[in-house]
Amino acid sequence: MTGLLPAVQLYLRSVQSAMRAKMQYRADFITGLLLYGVLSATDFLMIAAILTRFPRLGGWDVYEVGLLYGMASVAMGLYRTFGAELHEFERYLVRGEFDGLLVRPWPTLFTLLGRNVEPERLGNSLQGALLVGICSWRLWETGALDALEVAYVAAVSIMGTLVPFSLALITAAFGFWVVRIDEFQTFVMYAPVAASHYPLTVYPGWLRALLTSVLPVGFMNFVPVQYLLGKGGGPWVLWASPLVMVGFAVLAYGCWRLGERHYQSTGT
Amino acid sequence: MTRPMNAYLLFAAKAYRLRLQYRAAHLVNNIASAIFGFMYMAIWQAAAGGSPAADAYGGTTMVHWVAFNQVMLWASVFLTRGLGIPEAVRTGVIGVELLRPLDFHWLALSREMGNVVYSLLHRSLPLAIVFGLVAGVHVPQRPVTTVLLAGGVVLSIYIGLCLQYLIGISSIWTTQIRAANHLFFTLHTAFSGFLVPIDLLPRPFDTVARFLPFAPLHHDPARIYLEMAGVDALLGPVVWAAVLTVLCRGLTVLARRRLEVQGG
Amino acid sequence: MSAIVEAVELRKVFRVAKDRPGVLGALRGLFSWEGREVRAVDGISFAIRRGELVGYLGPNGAGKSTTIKMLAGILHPTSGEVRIEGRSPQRHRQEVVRRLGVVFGQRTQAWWDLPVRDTLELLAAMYGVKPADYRAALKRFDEMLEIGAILDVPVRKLSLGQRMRADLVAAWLHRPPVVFLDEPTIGLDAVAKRRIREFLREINRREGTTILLTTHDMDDIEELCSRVMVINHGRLVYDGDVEGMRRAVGVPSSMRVEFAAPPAGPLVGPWTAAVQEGPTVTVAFDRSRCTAAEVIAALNRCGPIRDIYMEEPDIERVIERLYAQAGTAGGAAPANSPGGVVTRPGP
Repeated sequence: MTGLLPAVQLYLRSVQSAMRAKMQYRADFITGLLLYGVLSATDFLMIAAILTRFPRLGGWDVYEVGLLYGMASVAMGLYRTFGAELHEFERYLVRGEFDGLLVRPWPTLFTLLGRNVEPERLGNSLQGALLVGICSWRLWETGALDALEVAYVAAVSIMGTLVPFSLALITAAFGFWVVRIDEFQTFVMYAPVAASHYPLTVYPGWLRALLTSVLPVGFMNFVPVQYLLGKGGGPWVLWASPLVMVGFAVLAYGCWRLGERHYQSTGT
Repeated sequence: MTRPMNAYLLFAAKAYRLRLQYRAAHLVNNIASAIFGFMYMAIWQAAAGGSPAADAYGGTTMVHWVAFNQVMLWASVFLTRGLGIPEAVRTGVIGVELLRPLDFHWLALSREMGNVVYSLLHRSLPLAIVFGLVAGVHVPQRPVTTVLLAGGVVLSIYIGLCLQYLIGISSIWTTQIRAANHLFFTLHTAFSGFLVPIDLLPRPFDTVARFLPFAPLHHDPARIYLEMAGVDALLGPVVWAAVLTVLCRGLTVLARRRLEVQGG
Repeated sequence: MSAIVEAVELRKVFRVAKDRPGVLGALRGLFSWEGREVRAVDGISFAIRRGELVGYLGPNGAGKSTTIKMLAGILHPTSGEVRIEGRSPQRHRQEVVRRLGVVFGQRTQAWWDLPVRDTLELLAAMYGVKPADYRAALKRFDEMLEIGAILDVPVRKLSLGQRMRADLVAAWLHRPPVVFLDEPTIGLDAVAKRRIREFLREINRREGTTILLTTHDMDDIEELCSRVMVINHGRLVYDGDVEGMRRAVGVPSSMRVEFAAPPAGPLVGPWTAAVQEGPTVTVAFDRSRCTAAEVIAALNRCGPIRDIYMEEPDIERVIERLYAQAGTAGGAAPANSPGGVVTRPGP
């Protein structure tokens, strides 16, 4: 029962069911979509407010920072949409619901992700895409980016979702030992992703090192954009960044597989 | 009057002890919180550090501003969502709680006070120490500031509790608590002065922020702490505390009436 | 006569973290997992043949669920091995669970907000059930469980009994040769219980499904199972047929009788003990030695009876007794029962 086509079909089917369940509360969906977009936009407005007062942040202007912010929002929104159940994984551990995934003839992660999506989180991604669009347009006009580079930025924005996905996967895998993981998410996910909204050069060295190694959020926006805008790094970062993200995802899946074997079904 | 008083204290103590069990996990969260703080400090230093301060909000001031607000975040903003009332509504426990011979508004608040005291001791205090060691402590020049600051902090906590109470009690009429919660955090991000002082917001926003109950959470006490303002900075918080109290108690009455109608 | 489900020296040791006081203790608890060991399953071996319907009994915390979870590939045994149709559910999880059905009585696998039909369709896709087979299965299960009436009801609106019926259909949809059920009748009323038992008996007969079910309900065992395994403190204390277990234990029953007036004479009868409290007399008797009718007849001779209450022994006490017997006598199972073995608990 493996093979790509049946897997894709099954995933779409699962998502379809999850959506149908969700549509019982349609009003929640619409307000959610709007609110996540507005929340994310407000966050950026705060950065913009700083940048209207002080024109530059560590040498980056508002459009350049906006590009970083938008890329991170696209990536994070996609993760929160399609990784909804991974984000809620503590519940599966605390209530022993992971049992139900293990008795299905598919990889557990696959079954897990198919159980729910949160399309309202796309509000975050849409807002991010809008910001990437505006900022790229401006940077293209001023000649800082060419068309090909703008396309690259768009591609990395989407691919960047691998980073929060992998961080969540490692946190979840850690949960097979410690069970309670929600409190770790702030450390592993929220703080690094928030940090990635700004040029990493403003941070002290140890924090920058952390954000480009153990918690590699830097690769989903800052590292490639820094080179594209001629602020540092060599051309190699353009292929190295996607490679690092894929490598990190593989590593994260390895952690998941390892953790899975340690699952100590609690609950009943 | 002494007996119910004891009951409120008991609820607070119970909540405090419940929290104690998760100290280890909270420790990791504290580290994350500290990193958030350092992040904001670094951003402000990168933005304002180079240029000499044109007004009160210079690079060094903003470091203390951000540190103070990060510490306050745990006491007055990161509270139990809706003070746990939405869960009580979902499970139906609310019926029992509203009909207890205790004041429901005070009950919810005092229960959460246990959490606030816990957060002050186990989250705010360690954070303040870490920030103090790394970035230095701002010591107020005038002794009266300490008194005003205490007032500002207490009002910040009280207003934070009341806002969460409003979110919580609204679950009697709506199922959209998640949305309400997000709205709260959106408004908090924009209008509390947490990261960006209200005076620095672009034109219409700064005026709007002055007329919302979010400035008393961060902006007003921070200005007192950094001695940018005196007793005048307490005016807004006092007015809001009064308004919110009336609002909370009014909604409690309406909620009880609605439950009585439903319960039959 | 080959075994379809096999457990070989199955053992599961859980490590329970010690709760350390103080902030420092909590800190240390983060980095080391020093703790107490709990042997949930402590060396269990058995073999279930194709088509058997086996009851798995034991008091709470005896290791029933842990065993089932190891059989279903959910937990990895600390040592020992599980084989389902010759393959380990741990090493070949996906292949093995394809041919397995699992039902947890305590919780459902279905989508809470969706009609039963949606969950079933999704499961059919998940197990690659062909559309024609799916339709045939729905028809068959409608006859057996009247599933048709609840197909379009959202799961959250189903009663406990209806939900269990849906869960049973979900477990059997892909026609698995082996099904494990953990407490399928828990919390159900008598009618719902009977219906579920009828279904299990029939599907076992018609499709030859090998079934292992855990239960607290003695009636489940009496009405369904050709074979019983009893576990206590992680060890198998009995494995054989129901009749053999009854004989081995000497199921103690008791009866409470209210007399019109306190009986004056001595209480003489086939019981093993009698306690008198005014007009109420409670007698304990051994069902393997005498029938309830004989006891009532004897009581009748003591005076006019106003009311009788039968008090069947709860399963926990039967097992306790069985365990105690196994500890002292060792091997009380009848030799003629299939695989009738009482494992001796260790020192």
